[in-house]
Amino acid sequence: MTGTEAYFEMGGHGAYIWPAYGLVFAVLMGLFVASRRFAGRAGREFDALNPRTRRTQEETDEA
Amino acid sequence: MHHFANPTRFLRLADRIQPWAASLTMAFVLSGLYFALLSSPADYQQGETVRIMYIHVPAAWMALFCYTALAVSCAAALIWKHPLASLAGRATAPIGACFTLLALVTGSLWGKPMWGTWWVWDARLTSVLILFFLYLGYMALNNAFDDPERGHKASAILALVGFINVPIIKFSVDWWNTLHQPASVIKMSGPAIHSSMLIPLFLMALAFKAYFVWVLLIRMRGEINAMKVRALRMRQVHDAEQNRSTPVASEAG
Repeated sequence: MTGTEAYFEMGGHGAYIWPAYGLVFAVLMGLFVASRRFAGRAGREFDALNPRTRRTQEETDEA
Repeated sequence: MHHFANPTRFLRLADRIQPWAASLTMAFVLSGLYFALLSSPADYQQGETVRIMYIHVPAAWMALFCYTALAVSCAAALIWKHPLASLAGRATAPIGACFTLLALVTGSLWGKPMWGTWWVWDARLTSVLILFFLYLGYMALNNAFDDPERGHKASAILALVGFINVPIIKFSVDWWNTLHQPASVIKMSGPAIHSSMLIPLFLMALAFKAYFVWVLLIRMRGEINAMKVRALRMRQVHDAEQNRSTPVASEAG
């Protein structure tokens, strides 16, 4: 067994350690992406409804 | 604090904090992972599985911290009608729920090789599972009403009642006979862990804390914009109703 293989083997407990770290990464990354999407969607909806930003957008479109 | 109750002022402050929170998250995650997975030694009894501690314990701390933050924002929303408090609660709950889920699953992955079982119904594990259900209950109740104000109020009461579970979780290992080990970091006689293991533990705890601030600010921005969208839609409906009623009134006159 090479050094790298032994490292990933983690003394026979790699099957518990790596899924634990993988899950933490996946859940925290998923929450981050979902939060960014939620904030982006809410921001776009607000810009579309807000008379001030809508007017600016229409003026830009006309130009 | 009331100075930042104004959403515009709050967003301006959030704009300044967010890059710092993002940078700190990255720095603490990278240094924490280096110490947790490469530099720190294996435990003399638990072997390499001790490395799960560096994510399990900070996740459990965050689960309790987020619920405390949720209860404080709910109290502020109910007592002082703080304009951003309800939104802070809504923004905190999904983050806390994720950390609680991570504490439960990583604990299970640690428990199987060490205790020989994925799960036991002992006081610590059961009370943390209840905490997870409290987060889910808060989020479900918050979105259950057509009138958001009623949802905020009902879910805030649930969150405050559920706060009793936080000290129960903390002291469950002292009050009852549990398979889960007692506190070994935060205790009166000082930590019972060697510094080579405390360093990655605290670095990962700081990484999770900085991540919490970063994601909270993103979610708060979303919640504030969603609140403004609701207000603008209400105004549009109100204006449309007034326009409909005006010609009828003039015809009648």
